[in-house]
Amino acid sequence: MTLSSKWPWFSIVTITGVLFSLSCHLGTVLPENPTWTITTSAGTSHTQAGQQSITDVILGSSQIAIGQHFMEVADTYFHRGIEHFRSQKFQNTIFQRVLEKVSPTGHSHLAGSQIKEVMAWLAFAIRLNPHDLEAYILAGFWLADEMKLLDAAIDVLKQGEKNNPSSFRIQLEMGRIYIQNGKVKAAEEAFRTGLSLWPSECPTDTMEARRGINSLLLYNGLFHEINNRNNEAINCYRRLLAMSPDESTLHDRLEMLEKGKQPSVLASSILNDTVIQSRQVTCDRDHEENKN
Amino acid sequence: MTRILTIAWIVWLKMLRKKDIYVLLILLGAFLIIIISLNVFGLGGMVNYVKDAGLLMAWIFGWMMAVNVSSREIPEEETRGTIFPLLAKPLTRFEFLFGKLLGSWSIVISATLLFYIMVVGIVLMRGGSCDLITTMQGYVLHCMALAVICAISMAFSTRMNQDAAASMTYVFTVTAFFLVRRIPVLMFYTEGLRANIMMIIYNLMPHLELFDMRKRIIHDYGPLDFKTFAAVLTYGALLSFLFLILSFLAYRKKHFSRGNMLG
Repeated sequence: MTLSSKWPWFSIVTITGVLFSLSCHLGTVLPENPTWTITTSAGTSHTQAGQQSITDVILGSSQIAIGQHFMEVADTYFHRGIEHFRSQKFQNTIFQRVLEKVSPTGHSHLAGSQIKEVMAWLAFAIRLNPHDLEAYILAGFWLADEMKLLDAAIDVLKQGEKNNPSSFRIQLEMGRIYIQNGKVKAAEEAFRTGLSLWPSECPTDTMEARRGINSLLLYNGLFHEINNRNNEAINCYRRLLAMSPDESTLHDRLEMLEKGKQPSVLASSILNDTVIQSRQVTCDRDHEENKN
Repeated sequence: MTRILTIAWIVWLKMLRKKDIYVLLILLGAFLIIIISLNVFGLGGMVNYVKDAGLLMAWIFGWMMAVNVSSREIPEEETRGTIFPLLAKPLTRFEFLFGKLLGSWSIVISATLLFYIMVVGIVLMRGGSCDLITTMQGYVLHCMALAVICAISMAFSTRMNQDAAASMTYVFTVTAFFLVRRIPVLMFYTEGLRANIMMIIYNLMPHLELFDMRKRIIHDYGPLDFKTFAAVLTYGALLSFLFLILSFLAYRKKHFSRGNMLG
């Protein structure tokens, strides 16, 4: 028997192995009740103390790379299958012109209920790399903002919290969704926890960490104001202004509070407006295309 | 023509005795069942990822079949010695090659049709939709890509044994599919002689990416305009014919001796 005559058997063994490991691993994705959940014990690299899942054994660290690939696929799906623009040394050859027609290019986004097509890839990414915070945050964002499934969004983020208990980013996102959901107490708790966890996984000099602490200090300050704890609010605003002195509107607010006066704009309305503003979608590709 | 069809029919009979198609169909079915049994965030009605995974598998399986079926036909005839009675008949070597290519290709596209039917069936069962015209265009262009792959595989197999021909075809076609389309981007990082070599590769290698309409099917971009569709089909037909001619040139004066063919 030559090597080539064995190819169906090689294929069977390889693909069955991959499918078996996938099914074992993905089996835990299925919720016990049909409502929702991403994972059960998931994602932890070890299912129980000292025990590795079959996927861990077979895929090892490559799970992270595959998970990252699924995140890229999710991004491509959001852009209706169109990949990131890359500058080309030459253009307009006959092959490129035909390829552009066969495989459309351009820049468009999915919207509304179409967003659900992205979710499968985010779920796969989370399965393969349960420490991928971006995947939880994106999944929570799309579920809450585009599909209006606020409870499902909270469930995803809770799973993220379970797998990444020291992450301030998960708490920050959870707090925002709680506010959208009208669960003010839970939001306050999430922001407070987030502030106590900062900077967790982010080095303090990164943009992510700076944005995170700014938001957390602002939200915590506003909640202190709402609950008439003005001294704590003043502390939060001072810390925030020490980090970001450009926040001119906050200067006035802090001044008013320090004088013992009530600022003209209510803290609750600023809180809602800020959360709504933080939900604006910005697409990196706009900047990339402008550069090119 | 009858002689060509007879050769093609013999390829079919041989293939039906083997179990390759059934194995691949079962694998595709199993893969799709696992994919659709996945409950993603309790959401229903997601079909694009099923289409995506299904069509990807159809491409991979079709590719594997095309290379393996067409690369084994000629070396097998030679190894078994059945080439002698065949060529002793009133059959030209071109007819022999064309018949083999036609047989291999028709088997592969029939299997690919079954793959497509299975994928579309599952998508429809999930409540999704597939634009019929776009899917048919995608299938036809896929068939044309498979014709090119079969022809390349056969060209290699005229001068190599089965394993070597299959390996060479995989290297050649995978490079053509994945690398050639990226050359305009890669050229940014090369200069001088290397850049010239890359340009030559870009212009000489088959552009198999032109036959891939999966993005249009999966993301509902609608059918391709007829002019472009016809142009790509023509390009595929020309490429297939070119490799068939190369096969003929390599095979027309090939000398056979029984001693060299064993093993």
